[in-house]
Amino acid sequence: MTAGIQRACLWSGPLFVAVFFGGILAAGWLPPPAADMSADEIAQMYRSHVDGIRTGALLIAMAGFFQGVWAALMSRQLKRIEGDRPLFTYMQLGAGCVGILVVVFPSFAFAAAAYDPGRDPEITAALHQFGFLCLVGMGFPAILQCVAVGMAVLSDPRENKVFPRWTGYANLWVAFAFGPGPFILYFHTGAVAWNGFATFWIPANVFGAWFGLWFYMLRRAIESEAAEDAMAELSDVELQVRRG
Amino acid sequence: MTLTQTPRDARSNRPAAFPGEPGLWFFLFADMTLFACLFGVVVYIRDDQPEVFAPSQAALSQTLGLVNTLLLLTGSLLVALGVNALRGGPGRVDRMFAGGIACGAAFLGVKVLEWGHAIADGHTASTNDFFSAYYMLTGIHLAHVTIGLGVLIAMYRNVRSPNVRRNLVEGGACYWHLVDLLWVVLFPLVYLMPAG
Repeated sequence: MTAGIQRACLWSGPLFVAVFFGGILAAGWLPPPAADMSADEIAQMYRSHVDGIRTGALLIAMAGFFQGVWAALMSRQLKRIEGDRPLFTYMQLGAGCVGILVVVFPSFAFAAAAYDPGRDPEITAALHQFGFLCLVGMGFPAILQCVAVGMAVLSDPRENKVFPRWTGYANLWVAFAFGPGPFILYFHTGAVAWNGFATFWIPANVFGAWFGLWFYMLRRAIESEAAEDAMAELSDVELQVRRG
Repeated sequence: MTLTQTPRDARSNRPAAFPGEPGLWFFLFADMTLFACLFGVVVYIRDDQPEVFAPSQAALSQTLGLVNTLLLLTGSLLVALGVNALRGGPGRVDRMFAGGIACGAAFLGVKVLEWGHAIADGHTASTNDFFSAYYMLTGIHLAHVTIGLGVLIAMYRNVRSPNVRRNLVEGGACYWHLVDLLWVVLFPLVYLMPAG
């Protein structure tokens, strides 16, 4: 019955990616600005791109909306595995909700920094750095989300699995691939700075692949649920026919 | 052999099977790819800043690194012997796994000692690019070891219970070998590779 609504919710994933990266592009932050910019350079960047950065902050915040839908849809499908005693379902949902903050906090910081770009450059720089450190570095909610989904998939006792088992392992790997992110706190240049190879480019690509993976998993699960419902309905009809 | 037949292992002539399960091997290869990228970061730092790399590397304890290498190799051997014992080989599987757990725990202890020494000498993650990469790589590897210890403990409990799960034991053993394999590349790369 709800398969149609679920199919619609499924598009929240690609929409999130589009709106989120749209925001990053609007702000002119792909590739991301260098992590070792001086306060004056940062302030200058905000003064010359004020409208783009404001629009970017707005879009990044808006992307959080789609994350909520996405996490709810995954919870719905995980609950098919766990039934009425869910644990990993709640873990994923909780982590997904906190994951919204990881996107919304930076957008607030960018918005505040761009609100009055003429102020003391040190203040603009601090807000800008707060935003980037949070956005690129604090991947822990996403890590927990992947672990919860991975564990739920691997614990599926059903004959017809809701998700193929390899997707469980794939989720566990994504959790590891987000691992280098928090190390941006220690670097201002090089491969592990917030614009670096290990902490931006690897996780950013894995992030995209992660959404592709979940899209595949969820689409498959929604269709299998619809098929199961149809079968159940059919056997109900058969039963009634036999009873006369 | 026709296409409908299950392929058979060339040496044992048993039906061919993935150790653990196929999905696990997606994880194992993906993780190796990830580490290959991170190893690339170390090589980049070496070529980019040889004047930072050489003295920083010299400050690491090669001895403790070697001890940890031997601990992991021994642990891997014990786990492999344990799986072999489970298939009818000599020895007791639970004792082998307990030995593997002891090796893993000792690795953690040595790593804490090593980090403690490095920090006491004033080499922290903020010191320079070499030490940042060192703490990042050994830290992510340590997370693998810690998770591996949990897996080994689950394997140990499982083989002492009446219903042994082949997937868990074989898959867990493969993961433990991965942890070993990654370290066997990490150790020469970070501790021994000459600069420039």
